[in-house]
Amino acid sequence: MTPRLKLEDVNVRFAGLRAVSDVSFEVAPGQICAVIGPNGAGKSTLFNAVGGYVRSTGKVYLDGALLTGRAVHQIAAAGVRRTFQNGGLFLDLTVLENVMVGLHQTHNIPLIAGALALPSARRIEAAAIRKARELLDLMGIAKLEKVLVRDLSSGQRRIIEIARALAVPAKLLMLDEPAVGLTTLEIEHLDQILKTLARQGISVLLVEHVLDLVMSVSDKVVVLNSGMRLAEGTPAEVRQDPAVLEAYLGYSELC
Amino acid sequence: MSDVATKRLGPVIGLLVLLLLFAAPLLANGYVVYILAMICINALMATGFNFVIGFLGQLVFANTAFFGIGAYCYGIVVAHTALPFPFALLVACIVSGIAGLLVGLPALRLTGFQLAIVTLAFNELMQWVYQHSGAVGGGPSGLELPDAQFLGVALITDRAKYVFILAVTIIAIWMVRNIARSTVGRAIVAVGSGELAAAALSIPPVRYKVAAFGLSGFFAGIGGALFALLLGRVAPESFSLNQLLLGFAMVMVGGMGTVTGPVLGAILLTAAPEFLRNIAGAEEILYSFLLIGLLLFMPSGLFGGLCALLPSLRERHLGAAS
Repeated sequence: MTPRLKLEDVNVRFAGLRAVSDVSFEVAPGQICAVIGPNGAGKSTLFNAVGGYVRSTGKVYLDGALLTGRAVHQIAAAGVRRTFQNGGLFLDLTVLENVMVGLHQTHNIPLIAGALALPSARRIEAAAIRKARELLDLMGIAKLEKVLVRDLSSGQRRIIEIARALAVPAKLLMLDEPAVGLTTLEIEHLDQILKTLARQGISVLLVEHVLDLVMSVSDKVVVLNSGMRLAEGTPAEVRQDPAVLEAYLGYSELC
Repeated sequence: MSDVATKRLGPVIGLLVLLLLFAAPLLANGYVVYILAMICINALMATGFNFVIGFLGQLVFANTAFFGIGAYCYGIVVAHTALPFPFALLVACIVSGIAGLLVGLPALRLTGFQLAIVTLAFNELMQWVYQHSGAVGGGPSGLELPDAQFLGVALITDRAKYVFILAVTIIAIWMVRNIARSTVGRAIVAVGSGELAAAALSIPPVRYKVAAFGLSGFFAGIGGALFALLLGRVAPESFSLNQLLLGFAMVMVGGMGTVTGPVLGAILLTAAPEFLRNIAGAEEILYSFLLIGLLLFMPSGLFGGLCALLPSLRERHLGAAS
């Protein structure tokens, strides 16, 4: 079977520094893969390489199609969706409006039809609103529809960002530290959401420091250290890998 | 005021205001009608400005150039050809829209103060073009325009011109409202609020930045063409830096990034000097205090202040279907 995501010798250099060196691994459809490692290991940079946010060499494939060299919005249109570590929501828009922006690809109204509020534009807009409400319902946050994102807690924002990222059919969801600042209850909610997505066939790539979540949801863990792939395996295998333990020495979170 | 009350009262009040505006030529004197026409024109100019500084959130100072290009295009078409004036209006807004797209190109590489300076330079460049426009644009002394006539309708008096200007303004602002509530408006606001976050949702940032500039030019251009129609002439001095500052102040005082804000700003800053004129000697001081006071106490503009009082007034970036 073609892997959902395939990385072949991916390299990212910043002014001579190799932030990511020769990283290769695969993620199957519906698989949840966590990328862990100490601070500065290159986890977020690897995400940025997959999404086209930084220039990289090597090759990244999505369902066999080459992503490397394409623009961010083209990679997103191909089915790679992500959330941002610092929150990528539009603060001055409401929850519903944020999700509507996420529907851009499938519910696009041409400028002139929109400006003149033609029936075709109204139909598309009505369908988009229905779809966005369904999504909020599914995530259990329908009540927040009219609230400005600015007025929400970080936990609520995280869930909305995931809902927005998945507003259109996604193939791969990349989550950059989704559990930061979340309560235990919210992390459990997130855990459930990720497992549900995986069952629907969406692959998840997860950068996370909250190892309880990583160990609970991941089918596969890739460990990075100094930009290089240190280990790869099931959560249980990685937990016992001597090289991983050494890299994490002093990091009491693991084990 | 509750949501329900606003929904019921809104259309009634809107309709009354509309009737009153169209009846103004019968009720008010010529001077008042002229000021009302200027309010419409300034509302369009500020609305165009708002597309880039409000919705897209970029410091762009080319707006007076778009306004001027709209005015000159209208003027050149009606002065030198036999084409009807509505056609000249169409040419004017399309050409100024294209000028907007072109000015948008450097904006893909520049932001902040650099972009402000480059677009300011474009204003000055257009001043040079007007001055050196020779027989086509009338040079330093400008162009005198023939009366606007089409299909037996002649817009000769300010009253007749006002009715036409008001109708065009209402249609244009209605279009802007629709755009703000559709995918294009949402995409422009999204790109302005976070370019990468928007791209991550498959929105091409370049396309929507350029679109914001094009729309900015288009709507400011309509304002410019109507300005030329009202005055019956075009001349370089109408499109100076003063005009730019006035438009900027209208957007800021009214409320950036909203459809209503620039219109409120245009009403206030066009009407206020006329009222203050009666208070001899204090005009400039009172006007300055008004500006400073408003921005000090309502940093998000008049409309922003109103929305803080009545949250149900907040404009949505959602279609009418909601």
